[in-house]
Amino acid sequence: MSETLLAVDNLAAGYEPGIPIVRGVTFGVARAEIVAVLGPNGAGKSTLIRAIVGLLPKFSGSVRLLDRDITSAETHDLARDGLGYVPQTDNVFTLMSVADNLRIAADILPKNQRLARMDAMYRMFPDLERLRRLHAGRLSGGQRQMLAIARALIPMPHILLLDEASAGLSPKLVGEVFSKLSRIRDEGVTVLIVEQNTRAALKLADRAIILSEGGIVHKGDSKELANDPAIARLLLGLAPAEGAA
Amino acid sequence: MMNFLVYAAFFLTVALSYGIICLGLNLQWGQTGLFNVGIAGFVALGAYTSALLTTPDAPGRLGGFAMPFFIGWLAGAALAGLASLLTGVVALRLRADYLAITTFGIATAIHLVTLNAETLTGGPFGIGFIPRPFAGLESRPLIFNVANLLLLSSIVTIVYIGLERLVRGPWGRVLRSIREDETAAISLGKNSNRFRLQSFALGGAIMGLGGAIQAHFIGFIAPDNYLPILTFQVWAMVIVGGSGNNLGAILGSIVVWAIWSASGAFIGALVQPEHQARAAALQIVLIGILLAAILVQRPRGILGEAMIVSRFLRKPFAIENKK
Amino acid sequence: MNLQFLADGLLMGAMISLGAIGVTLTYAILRFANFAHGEFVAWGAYFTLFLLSVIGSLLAGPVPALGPLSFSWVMLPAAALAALLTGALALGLDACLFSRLRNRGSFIVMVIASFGASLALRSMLEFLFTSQPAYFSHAIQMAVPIGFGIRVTPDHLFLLTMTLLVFIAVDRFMALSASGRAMRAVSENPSLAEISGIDVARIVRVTWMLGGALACAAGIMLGLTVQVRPFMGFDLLLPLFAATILGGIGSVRGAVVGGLIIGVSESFAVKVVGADYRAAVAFLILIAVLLLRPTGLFGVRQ
Repeated sequence: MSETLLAVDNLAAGYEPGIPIVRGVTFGVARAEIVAVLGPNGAGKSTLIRAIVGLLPKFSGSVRLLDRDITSAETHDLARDGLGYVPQTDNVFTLMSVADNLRIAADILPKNQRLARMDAMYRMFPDLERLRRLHAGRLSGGQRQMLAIARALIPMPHILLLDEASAGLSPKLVGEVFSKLSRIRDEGVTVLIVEQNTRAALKLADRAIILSEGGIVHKGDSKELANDPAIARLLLGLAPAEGAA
Repeated sequence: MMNFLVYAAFFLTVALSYGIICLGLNLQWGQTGLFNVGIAGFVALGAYTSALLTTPDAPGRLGGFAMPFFIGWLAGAALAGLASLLTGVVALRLRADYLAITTFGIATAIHLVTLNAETLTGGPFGIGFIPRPFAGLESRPLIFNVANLLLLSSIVTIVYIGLERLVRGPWGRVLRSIREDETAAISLGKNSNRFRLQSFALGGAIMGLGGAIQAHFIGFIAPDNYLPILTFQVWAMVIVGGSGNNLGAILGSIVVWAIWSASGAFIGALVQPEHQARAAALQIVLIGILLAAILVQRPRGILGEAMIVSRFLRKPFAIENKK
Repeated sequence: MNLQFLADGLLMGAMISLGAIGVTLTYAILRFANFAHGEFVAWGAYFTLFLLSVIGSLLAGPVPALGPLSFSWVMLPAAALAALLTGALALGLDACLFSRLRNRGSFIVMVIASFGASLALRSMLEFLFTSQPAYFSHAIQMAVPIGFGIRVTPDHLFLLTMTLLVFIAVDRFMALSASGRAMRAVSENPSLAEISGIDVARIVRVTWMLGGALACAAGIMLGLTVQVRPFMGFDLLLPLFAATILGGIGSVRGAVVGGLIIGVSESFAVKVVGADYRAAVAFLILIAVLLLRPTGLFGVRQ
């Protein structure tokens, strides 16, 4: 395995102090790989990703991005540190134009790079260029997801974290979003996705981490996990969650 | 000694009349989480209504109707309650700050009417000769003041017990469930707006009652008695006492009124007359800072809070519990 | 029909608009109705008064007025410094009071805290300067006719032009500058704004500075056209809130339009029913907006 880009070590986090939703979570993500975090409803997948980006408090453990300890970094510094995050809902500024959504993200870059990065995003997502004057609130679900991803990619992050990027999208749109993610990885960006859509996610990802009741129950190559009947029972609801652990 | 007892009885009487107003605010804010920045207006409405009904016939002004004072008190409460109901109908379905702004506007409008509608309110000079309870005893100050104190204590007790029963009964449980989690309460089939409206109107009626009673102990009312400073005092009393705690509201009214009166007396005794207006302004500054310090340092009040109002903890900023 | 009320109303409306921009931005970004905003107006006027006398005493001899205006060039540096000081006052109040409540998540308590702060700030002015009214200048200006039966003084024309320029500048700032974009972003979705790399604490400071400076401008205008007194800001508070809600929370253009509508309506009401109930106009408009269109003219949320 190549260089570890993101290292999560023994992390515990949740909403209320003393009531951790996820505990003892340890994993690493290497440069330019796609890792999927999977698990049944309520396993703590979104809590984990929200704690990593600092939107929920971490109670113990650490998070490192390359050589930097970002355990207690301010959320607003993460974009500069090279971590892009796409929340599951409310992930675009609906009252602002598509172009302003991208400008917001570009504002943290040096002045001479801003236009170039926006142009790069328009090239990657041609729809957005066509719609750039439109208020983001008027975009379709798929277009919004593309805008949210473009917004996160503008500052050239090392790693992109996506929370349920496929939620609410038609299978065709899920395919489109995931093929974009695959292209983004080909350009050298690491991708960490939290997914409910297990089959599609396992097809896209190189590796997967399976979370159940706040802890990691499996880690491994996604092709192998896809063929593991215990995993299938856990994730596809063919048996009670406890059965797999 | 005699003078001290007379003063103590008078002081407690006035403080308890604030206590009634505080109980009204505590129902609105402490129990229901509703914001009223126009307390002075609702208190004035109660006071003027009662004064208008109970004073002897006055030339150049509508009334008075020389009715018994308890009719005036009930009418004052009823009118203030009605005004609160209308305010609630306009503003309660919107976000919390809108209610604050609307009540502030109501107080401003009521102040304008008291100042300008001279045939109704006596204008800037106000209304005098408001009949006092036990007026026949006025020649014997101690008995007169103690009788008034007893009357007011029993009214406060009745309002207190009534409110305690209400908030501990099914109605209060609904209020709490609405305050804690509005979506859950609605999904249980309870029309949360109706309950909040009831609470706001009842709280306003209690404030009006307090205002009416107060007018009869002071004997004289004018627009300047009902400025935003009154709203501020009542808030200070409830916050010091601990919002949500009815006993605390009554104690808070006594504590804050004592601080207020003592610092006022201090200024009157020690500051030269030409500087008294400035000293009074400084008094308000210091009490304002004190209140802010309590809000920041002891959000549950000096005397503690009976029930934690977790609705206050709801964060419009989406960053939950960020440490 | 004599149209003088239009000119008077626009002048009054311009002052309300200047204050309402601050209220609407504070409301949208800090998420509470700031009852202390009126005091920024009054403090701005007193800061200016104070600086005028300080700068005046440093100069040798009296300074002549600027052309037909009632004030000298000293007003310009005094106003600029006062705007900075008023912004600093707003920042200081946030640091001492609001930020602590905000960090605890007590957003609703901030409203009553601001009400207490307004009383304390106003009483502080009464303590420092007494409640006697003060004036920037005792010069008497002749109003000149400008057609349609309207007469205005050179001061009024100057102030209206200045506020028009300020409105355009603030509007462009919100639309085109990085800080303006960030303010819009924080007002819509603070969490997404943080994720996008916006330092929300910095935007909060920008909001207070901008709101304080504009409130100071309103105070100077009010001082030049009426008088300077401790209650000047408090008396403006209800019109500020009415203009904010009429325009729609968070909308700078809405605040400007709302302020102008309130100002002209008040002026029209004074013409029709007299000055006694002037303050009720803002209240009636407020109630009408809450009943008919709570999102306001330009607003998108309640």
